[in-house]
Amino acid sequence: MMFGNPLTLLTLGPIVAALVFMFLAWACPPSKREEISQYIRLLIFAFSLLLLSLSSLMFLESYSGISWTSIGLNNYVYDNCVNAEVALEAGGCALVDGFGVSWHVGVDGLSFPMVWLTTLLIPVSMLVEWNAKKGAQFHSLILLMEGALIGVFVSLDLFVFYTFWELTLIPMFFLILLWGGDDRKYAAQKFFIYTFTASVLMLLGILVMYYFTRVPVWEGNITGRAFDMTLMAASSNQLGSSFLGGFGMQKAVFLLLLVGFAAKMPSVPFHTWLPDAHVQAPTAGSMLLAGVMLKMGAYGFIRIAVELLPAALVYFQWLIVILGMVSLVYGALVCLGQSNLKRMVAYSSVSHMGLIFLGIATMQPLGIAGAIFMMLAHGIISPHLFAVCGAFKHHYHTLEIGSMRGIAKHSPWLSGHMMTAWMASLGLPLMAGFVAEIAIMIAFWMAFGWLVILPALTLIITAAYYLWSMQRTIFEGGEEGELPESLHGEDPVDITWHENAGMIVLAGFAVLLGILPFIFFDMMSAYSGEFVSQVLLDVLNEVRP
Amino acid sequence: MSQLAYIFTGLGVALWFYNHGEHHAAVIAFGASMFHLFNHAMAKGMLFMASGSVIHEMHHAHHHLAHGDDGDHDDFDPQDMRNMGGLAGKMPITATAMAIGSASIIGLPLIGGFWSKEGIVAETWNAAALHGGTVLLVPAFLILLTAGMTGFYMTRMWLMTFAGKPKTEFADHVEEQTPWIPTPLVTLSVISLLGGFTLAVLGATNWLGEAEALGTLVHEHGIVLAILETLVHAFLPTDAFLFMVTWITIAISLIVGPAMAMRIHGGKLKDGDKAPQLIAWIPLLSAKFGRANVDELANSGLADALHRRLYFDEVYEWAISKTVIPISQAFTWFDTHVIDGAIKGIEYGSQKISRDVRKVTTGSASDYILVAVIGMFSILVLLWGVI
Amino acid sequence: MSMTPLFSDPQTALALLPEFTLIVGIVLMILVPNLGKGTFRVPIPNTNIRIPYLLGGERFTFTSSPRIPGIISVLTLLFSTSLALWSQMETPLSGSNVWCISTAGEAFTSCAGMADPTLFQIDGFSRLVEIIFYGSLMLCGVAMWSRMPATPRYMIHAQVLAGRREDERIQKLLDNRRQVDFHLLLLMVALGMSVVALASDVFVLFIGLELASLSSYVLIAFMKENEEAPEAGMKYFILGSVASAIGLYGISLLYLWNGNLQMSDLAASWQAMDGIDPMALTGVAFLMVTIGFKVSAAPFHLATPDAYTGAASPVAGVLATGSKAMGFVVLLRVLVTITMPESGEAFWVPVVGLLAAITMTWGNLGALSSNNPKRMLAYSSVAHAGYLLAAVAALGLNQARAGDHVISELIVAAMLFHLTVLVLFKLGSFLVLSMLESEGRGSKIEDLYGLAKREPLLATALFIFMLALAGVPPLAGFLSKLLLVSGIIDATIHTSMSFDDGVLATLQSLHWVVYLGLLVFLNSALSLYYYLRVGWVMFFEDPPTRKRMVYAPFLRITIMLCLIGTLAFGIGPLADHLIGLVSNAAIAFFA
Repeated sequence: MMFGNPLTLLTLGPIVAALVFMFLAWACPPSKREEISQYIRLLIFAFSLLLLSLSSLMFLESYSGISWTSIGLNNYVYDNCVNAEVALEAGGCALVDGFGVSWHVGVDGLSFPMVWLTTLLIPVSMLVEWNAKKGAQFHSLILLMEGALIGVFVSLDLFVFYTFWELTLIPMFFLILLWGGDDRKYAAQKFFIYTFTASVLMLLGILVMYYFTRVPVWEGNITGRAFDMTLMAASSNQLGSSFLGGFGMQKAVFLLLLVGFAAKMPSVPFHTWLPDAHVQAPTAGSMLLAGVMLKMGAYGFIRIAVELLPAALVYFQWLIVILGMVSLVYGALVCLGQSNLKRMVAYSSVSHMGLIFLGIATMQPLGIAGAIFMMLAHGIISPHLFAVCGAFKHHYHTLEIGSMRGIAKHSPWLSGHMMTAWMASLGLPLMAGFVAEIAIMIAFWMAFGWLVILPALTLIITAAYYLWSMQRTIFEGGEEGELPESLHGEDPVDITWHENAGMIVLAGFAVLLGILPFIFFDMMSAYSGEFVSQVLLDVLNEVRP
Repeated sequence: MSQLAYIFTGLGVALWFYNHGEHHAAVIAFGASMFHLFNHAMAKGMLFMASGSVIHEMHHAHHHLAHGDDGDHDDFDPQDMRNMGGLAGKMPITATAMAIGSASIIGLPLIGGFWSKEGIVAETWNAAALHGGTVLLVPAFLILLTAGMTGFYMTRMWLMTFAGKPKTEFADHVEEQTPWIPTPLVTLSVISLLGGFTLAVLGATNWLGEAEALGTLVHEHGIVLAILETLVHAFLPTDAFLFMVTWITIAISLIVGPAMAMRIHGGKLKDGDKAPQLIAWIPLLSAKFGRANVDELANSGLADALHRRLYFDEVYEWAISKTVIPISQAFTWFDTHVIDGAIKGIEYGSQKISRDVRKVTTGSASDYILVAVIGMFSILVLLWGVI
Repeated sequence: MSMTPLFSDPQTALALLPEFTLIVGIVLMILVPNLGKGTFRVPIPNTNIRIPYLLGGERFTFTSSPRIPGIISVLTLLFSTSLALWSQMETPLSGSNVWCISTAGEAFTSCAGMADPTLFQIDGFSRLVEIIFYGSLMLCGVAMWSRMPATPRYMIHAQVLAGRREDERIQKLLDNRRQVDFHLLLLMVALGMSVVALASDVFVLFIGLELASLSSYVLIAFMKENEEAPEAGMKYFILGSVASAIGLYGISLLYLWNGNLQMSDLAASWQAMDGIDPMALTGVAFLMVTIGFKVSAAPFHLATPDAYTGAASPVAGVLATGSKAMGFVVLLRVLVTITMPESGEAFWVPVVGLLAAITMTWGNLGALSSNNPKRMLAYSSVAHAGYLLAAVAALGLNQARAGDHVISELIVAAMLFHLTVLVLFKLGSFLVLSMLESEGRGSKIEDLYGLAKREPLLATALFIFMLALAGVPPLAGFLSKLLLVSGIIDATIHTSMSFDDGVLATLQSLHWVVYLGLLVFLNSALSLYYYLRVGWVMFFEDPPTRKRMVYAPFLRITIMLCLIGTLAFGIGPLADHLIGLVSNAAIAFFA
C-alpha cells in the first residue's frame, strides 16, 4: 500500500504538516499569535527531528535490514512499485492514470545520502535561525521545502520528479521575498524565473522521453505511455543506440536536460542567479539552497541524463569537462575579487559544483563516486559556511570582508566556526571535502592524465581566497581589531547557543565524514561501480571501439 | 630546507640508478635518503627545541629587566641572535644539546647525520663520476658546496648564541630556569649522538632492498666486527675516487666551514662563566682564530639579498599580482557585465518591447478594424499561397 | 419546421433538458420580478370586481428584491450544469450514445448519413463544452450577486450627498431592474452558447454565436456609471460585428459552394474535393477571422484588453473563459470537423501555427509592462489562446482521419482540459479582482498592494491562480499545459522522426510545429514574470488601507472552491477523472 512506505511519509508528511501548521498559524487570533507561534515552532522542529531519526534508522542496517552497498543498478529500496509495467497496468501505484503518471518512489546508493542530508539540514537550519522573529510561517515554509526536496530525490516517475522540482521553488521564493535582504524582490524573482526557464527546457526533454516510453495500454490511459523512470532505464538498456529513435535524438534530449540541470547546479554560464539569491536570502534559506537545492541539479543529471543516456554522455564528455573546468576556475577566480562574504561563498559553491561535473566526466567509478560524495560533503560544509555568514550578519550587521579585523577577541566561537568551515571548504584533509576532492582528482588523472594540473592549481586559488578572507577577518588588526561601521560602536555579542549548536553539528559531520567517509562512500562507489561496469563500459566499447 | 634538499638529491640519485638498471645502488641511495630523514628529524627537532629554550629564556630576562619601563612594547626581539652571546655558561644543557645537534647536521664523523649524509654524497658522486651520469655532476658539486656552507652556518649560529661575550644586558641576565625543557633536549641529544651510529652499524642504509640486511652484519660477525666493518666502509672506501670524495667532504664541512665561522664570530666566554666540559673547548678554540672584520660584507648587497631570501617572496607576489589578480578582476567584471549583463539585457529589453507592443493597442476602434482587416487579407494570402 | 415533436417526444426532451432549463429560467426571470398585485378590472359596469393576475401593479417585496434575479440565474445555471454533468457521467455520450435532432424535431441516435438536415447533435463533446460555458456563467452570476446593490457601494454615499438618491424602496426596484437586465442577458448568453455547443449545422452555429456575442457585448457595457464600460462595450461590439459580418460572408460562400450548411455534408464535400476550391477556401479564411476575434488571436485581439478592462471583472472572466471556449468550439468544428483532409497535413497548419506564435508572444509581451491587473489578465488570456492555437496546429498534422485517432484525440482532450481548468483559475482571479472592484479599486496594480495583509486567504488564492496560469506544478494549469505540449510533441515526432545520428540532422527532420511546443514553454517562463509580480506586490508592499474587504460569503466560498479545484485537478484522482471526461468528449468529437 503506497502510504505505508516510509519514503512516502518522508515526502508527503512534511508537506501536509507544513500546510496544517500554516493554517493553524493563520487561524489563531491575533492576540495570541506570538505565543502560538512559539509552540508551532517547537512542534515543527520536533517533527523534523522525527524525520531525521526515521531516515537515520533507514540507514542503519541493523534496524532496516537493508544492505546499502549491495543494491545495484536500477534496483531500488523501499520501492513501492517494483515491477513497474505490471503494477501500472494493475493500477497499483497510479496517480494520474490517464496520463501515465504514477507514484513510484525508491532510493538507492545515489539518492539515499541526499535524502538523509536533507533530513539533517532542515532541523539544523531551523536551529540556526531559531531566534529570528519570524513566526511560524517561516518554519512551516522550511518544512514544506523539506517535503519537496525529499520528493525530488525519491521519486522515480518523471512527472512527479518535475512537480517536486518546481515545487521547491515556491517556498524558497517566499523565504527570500519575505525575510531576505534589501534587494530581495529582484533576487527572488530572478531566482524563480531563471531556474524555471531552464527547467522547462528540461521538461521538453522529459516529454520526448515520455513519448518513447510505451506501456501496454490499460483502461483509461489516453496516451499509451508512462513517465516511469525504471521503464525508461530498461528500454534504454535494451535498445541501446536506437533508444529515443536514434542517437541524434538522444543527444538532443541530453542537451536539453543538461541545460536544466546545469542552471540548477549552477554551472557557468548559467550561474548568475546564485550570487543574488544567496546574498539576499535569509540564513536558513541560504543553507538549504546551497546545501540541498544545488544538489538537486547534480542528482538529476546523474539519475536522468547520465543513467538513461550514457551514450550521449560519452559523446559529450569533453563538453562536460569544459563546463566543469570553467565553473571551477572561473568560480574560484571571481571569488577572489569579491568583498561581500556571502557572495564569495556563493561563487565558491559554483566552483565546487564544477568539480562534480569533472568527476562525472571522468567516467571512472572513483570519479563518479567522488562526485556523489562531493554532493554530500559540500551539502554539509556549505550550510556551515552560510551559517557563519548568517551569524556575521546577525551580530555584526555587515557582510563586507574588509570592514572588520581581528574579531577573534570579540567573538571567539564565531572565529572558531569560521575557521573550521573555511578549512573544511578548502579541502583540508580529515574533513569531508578533501575525500571528495582527492577522489575526483585521482579519477581525473586516470582519465585525462596531466590535465589534472589545472584543477589542482585552482584548488590553490580556492585556498587563497579562503585564507585571505579568514585571516583578515579573524586575526589582523593588532590588539583591539577593527569593528565595522555597522555596529555603531557597540560591542558585538558572540554567537547564541543555538547557532553554535547547529554549526557544531555540521562541523562534527564534516569531520566524521572526513575521517570515516566509507559510511556513505561505500554505497556511492557500489552504485558508480555497477553503473560503469554494467552500462558505461558497453557504451564506451560501442562509441569508441 | 637545505637538509631536505639533501634527501631529495638522494632520492633523485636513487631513481637515476633505478632507471639505469643499477638496482643495488638505487637501494642504497634510497636507504641513505630515508636514513637522513630520520637523522634530520631528530637533530632538527632538537635544534628547534633548543632555540626555543634560548628565546624563551631571553624573553624572560627581558621581561624581568625591562619590567618597570615600557614593558613589552619596545622593539626588543628575543629571537635576534645579535642580542645574544655568551650563553654557554648560563644555559649549559641547551648549549650542549645545540652543539650535538649542529654536529649531527654538519656531519661530524661518527655522530648521527654523518652516516646518512656521507651515504648521499658518496652515492651522488658515484653516479656522477663512476657510472656515467654526467648530468649529476651539478648536484654533486652543489652538495659539496652546501656541506661547507652547512658547516659554516651551523657553527656561526652556535657561536653567536653561546660563545663570546653577551651583547646585551638581557643576554647577561639569562638563566636556564624552565624545568620541563631539559628532558626532551637530553633525550634527543642522546638519540642524535648514538642513534645514527647504531643504526648504521645495524645496516640502516641497506634496509630498503634487503630487509634481512638489518642486523645481519651484527648477527653474522658479532658487534665488534660489525662496528669495524661499518667504520671501514665509511672512512676507507675501496674505490680511490670515492675515498677522495669522502675525505674532501669531511674536510670542507668539518674544517673549512667552521673555521671561517669561528674567525668571524668566535670569542671566549665572559670571565666568570663556565661552560660545561663537553663543549667548553669550542669557545676557546674559536677565540684562537682571531677576529676578522666583515662589516663591509655584512652591509653589502649580497647580504641584503640573502637576508631577503633572494627576493623569492617579492617575485611570487609580483607574479601573482600580474597574473592571478588581474585575471580575477577581469573575470569578475565579465561576470557582472557580460553574463549577468545578458540577463539584465533580456529583462530590460523585454520590458521595452512590451511597452512598444502595447502601443499598437491605440484605443481607437477604427484602428482595430484596420488591423483586423489587414489580418484577414494576410490569412487569405497565406492560405492561397499555400495551395 | 414544427416544434411540437421536439417537446412531445420524451427522448428529445430529456436530451435537451439543460437547454430547456435555461429557457425556463429566462421565462422565470422575466416573470418573477414582475409579480405584483396587478389586478384586472372586469368590464362589467357598476361593479368593481378586480381579478388579480399577479403581474404588474405594486410589486411584491420578496420577488422584487434585487437579489432574486441573481438567485434565479445562478440556480438555473447550476441546474443546467448538473444536468449536463449527470448526463455525461451516467451515460457518457460517446460513440454510441449520441442524439441528433433534425429540423423536423425528431431525435435520432446518430447524425451520420441522415437525409434530412439536422439542427443539433448532442454528444459527449457538446455536453462537456456546455459544462464549461454554464460553469463560467454561473461563477459570474455568483460574483454579480455579491455586487449588491447594482450601484456600487462606494458610489451610493456620493449619490446620497448629491441628493440624487431617491426613496429606498424605489431604489430597490431600480436595482432589481438592473439585476434583471444583467442576469437575463447572462442567461441569453448561456442559451446562445448552448446552441453553439450543440450545433450540427453551420448556420445554427452562427445563430448561437451571434446570440451569445450580442448579449455579451451588452454585458460588457453594463456598468454604465463607469466611464470605461460603455466605451469598452462599444469597441468590442463594433469589432465583433465587423468580424461576424466577415464570418457571415464566409458562411455564404460555403453555402454557395456546397448547397447546404450541414457540417457532415460539408465535411464529405471537402473530402471529395480535388484540390481546394478557391470559394471554399475563401469561405474558411473569412470564418477564421470571426474565430480569431472570438478566441482573441492576434491580430484580431486588439479590442480584448479594452473590453476586459472596461467590463466588470466577472464579465471579463466570462469573456476569458466561456467566450473563448465558444470560439474554440467554432474553430474545432470549422477547421477540424469540416476541413480536415483524409490524410496528410491540413492546409491551414502554417497559418494557424503562425497565428499561434504571434498570439502567444504578443500576449505575453503585452502583459509584461502592464500596470492594470485586468489588462494584464486580458493579455494573458490572449497568450493562452496562443497556446491552444499551437495545439490546433499540431492537430492539423493529422495522423489519419480514419484509423489511428489517438494523437488527435489526445490533442483535443488536452485543449478541452485546458479550457475547463481555465475556468477555475482564470475566472477565479477575476473573481478576486471583482471583490476589489466592489470597493472601487482594481484598475491599478497599486490596488493589489499588500492584499496579503488585508485578506491572506484571498491573496493566497490569487497567487495560486497566477502560478496556475504560468504553469507551475502541481497545479491544474501545469497539467493542462503539459498535456498540450505533450500532444504537440507526439504529433510532430509521430510524423517526422528520422533515425539519425547527428543532433542537427534530427532537429532538422522534425516538423517545425514542435518548435511551437518549445515556444509555449518559453512563453510560460516569460509570463512568469508578470504573474510573480502580482504575488510579490501582494505579499511585499503595504496596503492602501487595512480594512477588511466586503463580506460577500458566497463569493469567498466560490473563490475557495476554485482554489481547491486548481489544486485538486493538478495531480491525483480528480485530475484523472477529468482527463477521463475530456478524453470521452474527444472521442465523441471524432466519432
